[in-house]
Amino acid sequence: MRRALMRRAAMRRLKGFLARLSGSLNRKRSEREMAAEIESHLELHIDDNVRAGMTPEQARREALLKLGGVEATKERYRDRKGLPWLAHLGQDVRYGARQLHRNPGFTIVAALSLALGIGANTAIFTLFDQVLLRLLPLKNPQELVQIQWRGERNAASIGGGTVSYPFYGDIRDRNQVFSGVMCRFSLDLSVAQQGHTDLVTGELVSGNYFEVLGVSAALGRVFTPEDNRIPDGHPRAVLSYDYWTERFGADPNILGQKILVNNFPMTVIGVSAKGFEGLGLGVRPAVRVPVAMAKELMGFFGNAWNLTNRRAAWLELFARLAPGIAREQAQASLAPLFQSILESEADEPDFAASVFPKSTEQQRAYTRQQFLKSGLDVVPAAKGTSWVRERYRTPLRVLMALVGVMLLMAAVNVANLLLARAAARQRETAVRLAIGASRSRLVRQSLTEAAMLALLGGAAGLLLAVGLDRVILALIPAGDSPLRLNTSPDARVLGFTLIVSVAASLIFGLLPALRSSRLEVSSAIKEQAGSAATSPRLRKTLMAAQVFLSTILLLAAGMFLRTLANLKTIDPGFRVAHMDTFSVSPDLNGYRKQRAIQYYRQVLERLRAVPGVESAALASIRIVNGDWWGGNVAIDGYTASPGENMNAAFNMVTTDYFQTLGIPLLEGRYFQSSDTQSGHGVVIVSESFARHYFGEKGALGRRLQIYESGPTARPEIVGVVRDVRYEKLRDAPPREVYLDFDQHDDPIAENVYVKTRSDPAGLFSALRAAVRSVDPNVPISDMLTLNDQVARNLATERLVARLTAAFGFAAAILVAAGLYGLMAFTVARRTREIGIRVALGARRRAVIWLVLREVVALVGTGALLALPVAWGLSRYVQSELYGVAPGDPTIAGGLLLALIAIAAIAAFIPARRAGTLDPTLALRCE
Amino acid sequence: MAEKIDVWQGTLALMVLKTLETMGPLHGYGIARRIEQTSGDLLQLNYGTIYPALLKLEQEGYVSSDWRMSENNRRAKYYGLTRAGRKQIQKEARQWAQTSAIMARFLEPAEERL
Repeated sequence: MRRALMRRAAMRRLKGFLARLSGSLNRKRSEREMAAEIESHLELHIDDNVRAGMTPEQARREALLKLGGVEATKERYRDRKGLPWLAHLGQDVRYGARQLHRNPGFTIVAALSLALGIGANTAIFTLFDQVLLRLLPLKNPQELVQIQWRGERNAASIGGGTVSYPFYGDIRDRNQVFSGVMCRFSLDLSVAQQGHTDLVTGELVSGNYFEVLGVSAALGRVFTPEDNRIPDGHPRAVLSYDYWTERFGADPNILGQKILVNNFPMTVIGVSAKGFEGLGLGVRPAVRVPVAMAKELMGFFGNAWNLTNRRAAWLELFARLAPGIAREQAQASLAPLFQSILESEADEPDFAASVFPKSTEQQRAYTRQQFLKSGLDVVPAAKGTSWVRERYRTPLRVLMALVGVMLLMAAVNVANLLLARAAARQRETAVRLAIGASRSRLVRQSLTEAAMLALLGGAAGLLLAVGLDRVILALIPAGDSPLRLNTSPDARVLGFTLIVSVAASLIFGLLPALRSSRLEVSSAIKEQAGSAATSPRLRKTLMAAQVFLSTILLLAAGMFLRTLANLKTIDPGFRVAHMDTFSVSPDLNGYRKQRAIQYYRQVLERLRAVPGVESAALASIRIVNGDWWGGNVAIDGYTASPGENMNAAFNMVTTDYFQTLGIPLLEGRYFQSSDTQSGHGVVIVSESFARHYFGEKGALGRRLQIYESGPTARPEIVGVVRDVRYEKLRDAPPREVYLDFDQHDDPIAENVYVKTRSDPAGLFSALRAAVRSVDPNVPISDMLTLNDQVARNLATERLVARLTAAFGFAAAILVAAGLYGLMAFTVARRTREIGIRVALGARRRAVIWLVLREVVALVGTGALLALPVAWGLSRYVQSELYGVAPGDPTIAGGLLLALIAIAAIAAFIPARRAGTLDPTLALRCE
Repeated sequence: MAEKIDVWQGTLALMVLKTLETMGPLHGYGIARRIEQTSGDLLQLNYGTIYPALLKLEQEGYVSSDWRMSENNRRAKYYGLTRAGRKQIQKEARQWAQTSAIMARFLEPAEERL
């Protein structure tokens, strides 16, 4: 009841507001009506007065008096009729527009510097938002969590935190905190239909995948748990909406048709809802298949990945929290269930089998103990999961912070410009105050003008941002799965830009506004412009603040440029020049074992026959491409201490891999044609591996156990080669073990390296044709020169370095322009003083120094204050730096040069003007 | 003669509404006049203030207006109560009675409260 009343009262007020708003809009009619009403009022009153015996003049006077003045009444009426602040705003906007129009130079400089600041912010925010902030477009995304294994899994694994399928079943069926638990695995698939083959990203999913995510079908149906009951029993696929429209032209007849997924026929049962892309940012699985079909599609990865093996961790687990359950609560509640699963797994026979049979009792006990210490984490997944986010999180945060600094700088710059203009307009302001403008009205007027400037800058910034984002995305390497981010601003980005613009206008508008409203009217009108009231102390402080902020930006630029330069000098350990590399995927065409070996051999033969090709080799790992294949090794005669990291990086290569990539042999021999499947097993190890386990000598002839190749094969080390970079250029070379392609019955060696005699890029089409001639259906991907691949590995660093350099450059220009303006102003103000000094015999050098001193003091103060702050902040970006220490001399030197350049540009003209001042003219001025 | 007092902010609207309730539709001058009379000439009313108050009431939908001829043949804008206006009188009168009752309790002689 009470609430209803309140609502009604609110409605009345709203009605009143709307009436006033419309009153603001049709002024003329209401003015006429108001005049008529007051006129009629007076007539009525005068009639009465005359009737009471007054003379007409008396009657009129009395009526006017009693009314309280016609104009005052009209004004009060108008205020109520319309919205006075709206009328004032209109006036302020018109006045502001006139001011901005009258000083186009000022307007352009101010708007441009804001456009730089706001544009950079909008550009970075557009990416920041999509990569780090945005929630998945699902129903109640905040209920979505990922469940990750923390600690020793004692299992063959793909990806961190992943689990086995039986483990997934345990969690799904025995938890009491989730409304649903699903699992998924993402992989590359080849999809063929009507003779056309695509290489796409696909997903193996549990039957309740769509149900847990709350995603429906756009066509046909999506999976249910019924589609994932029987291993190998559900050859069905659900297409993504985008893939359906792009590849199949949104043809509804696709339902019920068969497509070949990795050469295995599957029936399309539906298309998932429009707008649903998946859980990974920028990665859009095109086809989803029940995880029960793992055996058919996981061949590439080996045999461990099936629905019963508990010692294979490969599935990512996602769950939806049951209503009212908090994430922490869910994690706590899973702990006892997890512990009981751990204990029963540790007692199973295959648990022991997965530990090396030759390992000691002590080592086995240690493994078991570590295994039982594992935990299960429930982490938020409202934003999905993404390697993009992991990779770009820190760079994006750094960039966002830097553009924030830049915006602050731009705002301070404009504040300074406004202060200068306010000084010039001081008399006008004083006059307005004197004739009765209220100070609050003056402040509002200044702020309106500031907001107009900010919106102008914001609009220009928005355009700049779209361009900048296109450039940034073009710099991010695409490879075969481009990161699809949106560069056109949406409502969120527009909102952000608006907020940033308004915030900026408050920063730069408030100070000058308050200052001008504090003006002493009498003295300001009397005195000349350039009086004590316009003391540039505030402006100098703001200038020093600008130098401070720009120094931080310049230092950041220096650190990231230095990082990039350092990374570029890294010797990867292999030949980069005259090399091509690409990948083939025979497994996606269903080729395994003998068939695959045959295919690989033919590819090598055909490639070597291409004119211009010197040699060709295959490897399972694409080096410096973020790939990793590793596992534990045991070494005969080497007793690992408990907990010692026995992990090594693997690479399976063909015989001439080392010669092709120019990796020198240090000891022993390379692989040779006599190393065959029937011969005894051989491996080659890297220098780091050999030194770590065997010291300077003694690696040759030792035997290893590698879990991946089965416990019985104990290959012998026949050679030691020089270290090469493996996963990333910036990471030190790992201990590496090379396996021989020719000794494996089911080899994976899909990465091709070709050494060319001439321009490597010129051979692309010839290489492609050669590979196609073996089998046109095998997808070829990611063909580029090795040089480009190494460069691509530095793409993030290059991007950050270029952007920070650009920001630093923009900051330097802003500072130089600001300093110039300030110094020109100061010299003009001190013309008379300088004239007196010169007249009294001051030398030119002394006069020039007078100006320089101020610049040096300003730049020096700002920079010196900024240095410790910037070096201190560099701690937070350490992970993004390489070989950069606080106080790095090259960076400090570069910074010094930049600051000197800024100061020189800013001081040159004003100092020269001061130095060449003619005292007679100077004394006469003003 | 008692000292004249200014009209308190906020009470004028209720006075206007109440006047319209007793007198029926009336023009601004008439309303102002009537308020002065009703107060026993104790109120100091600037007639001009009546117009923004009437405008506000009209904007909020408590009164409506139209132009008519007055009894001595002058065109004048007449204001009349709407249904919402009638309800509003009851509500505000009740609130006003409450407020004045509360104030009265505070202002009673101290010994009676003991």
